Amino acid sequence: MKNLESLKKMVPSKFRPMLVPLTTFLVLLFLSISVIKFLVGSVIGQRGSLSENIKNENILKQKQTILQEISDQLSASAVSSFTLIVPDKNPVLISVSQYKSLAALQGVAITNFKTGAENSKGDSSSVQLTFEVTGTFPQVLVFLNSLRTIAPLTSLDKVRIAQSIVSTKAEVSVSAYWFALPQKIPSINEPSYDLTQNERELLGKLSTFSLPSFVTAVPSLGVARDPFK
Amino acid sequence: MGNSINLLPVDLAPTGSIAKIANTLRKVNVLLIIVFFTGGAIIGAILLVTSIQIRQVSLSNNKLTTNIKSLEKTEQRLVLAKDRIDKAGTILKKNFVSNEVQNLQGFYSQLPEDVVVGEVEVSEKGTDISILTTNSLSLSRLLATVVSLSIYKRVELISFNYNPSLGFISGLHLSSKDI
Repeated sequence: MKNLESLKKMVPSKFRPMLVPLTTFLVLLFLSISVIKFLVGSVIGQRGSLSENIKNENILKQKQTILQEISDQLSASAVSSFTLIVPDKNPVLISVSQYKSLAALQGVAITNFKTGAENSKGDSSSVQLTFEVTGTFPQVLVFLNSLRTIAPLTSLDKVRIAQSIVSTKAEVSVSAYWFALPQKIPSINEPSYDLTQNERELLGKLSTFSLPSFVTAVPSLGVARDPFK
Repeated sequence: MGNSINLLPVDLAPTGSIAKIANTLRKVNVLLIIVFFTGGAIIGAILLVTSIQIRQVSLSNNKLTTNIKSLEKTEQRLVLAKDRIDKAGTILKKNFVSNEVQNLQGFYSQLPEDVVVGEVEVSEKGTDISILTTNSLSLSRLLATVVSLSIYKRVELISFNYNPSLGFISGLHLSSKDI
């Protein structure tokens, strides 16, 4: 109080009536600026947080819709068949088995299988497989054309066909591929993308491939624990 | 009504303009207080509404996250399917030789009956084929067939031999690639 009195005394008496309103005005102005600055900052922050949450909500809603729709279209068995068409391990033995089955079906002889060295690049690997096919010229052509319809997927690299009086022999060179499986799924907040039109078309094409048939050996009942007793 | 008495010395009395400014400042202060409280109340209300909205959206997000977690197996299937389709696409793009073999089958089916196909080599470059024709008539029929077919975009006669005991041996390079 004493300070205020001494402050008052410092001001010329002519201006004293202005002292209180002016001080009040300055205090109010300062208060208004700082409070408004704080509140507006809070509002902007909250709005930002709200729009971020709404954006996340939209992503999650879209993701949920896609996953619910795709759940009916992509059965577990369909997806596991994709790993037979595009495998994650060297498929040469399966390919040989498939080629032999196809050859038997089409009445051509298939012999002299040879494999080359593995080529790895990133998550993809390939190996070259060569073999000979013997039959009539049209049979050999039909067989070679059928290679594009069987799983695992291979690409035809080279074919050399030689005709003799008795038969036609083709030396065939194909590449078999395998790719590492994806290791992680996107995080919850990352958007999920539905299958594109091209992917759906390819999916339809892949579903027409003839898959290898595996036989699982099941132990028969009544086998003695110790076969020597 | 009593008379107003000013005991202050004349030189100490506030001038008219200062009194006016002080009066205006008082009015401004009152206005500022009103604006301050009204503005504060409005901004406070906005903050309250926004925080309620944030809470609602967060609740919805939590629910959606739980639902998506329950669909994790489906998401794994989708990721795997997309990955395998992409890889299958890269293999299927390497289909030039397969397509050439398919074209060869079409070409072979259109050949006249009296021609004999000798050696064939199908590679990334195209198809090299040697064809035996016993006489000039069948040779002309063969060339007419090759020209009339629209299977190949490029046809080259790379060799032409005549053997009196066999006939005409034509070496052709066929390709469905653009020149």
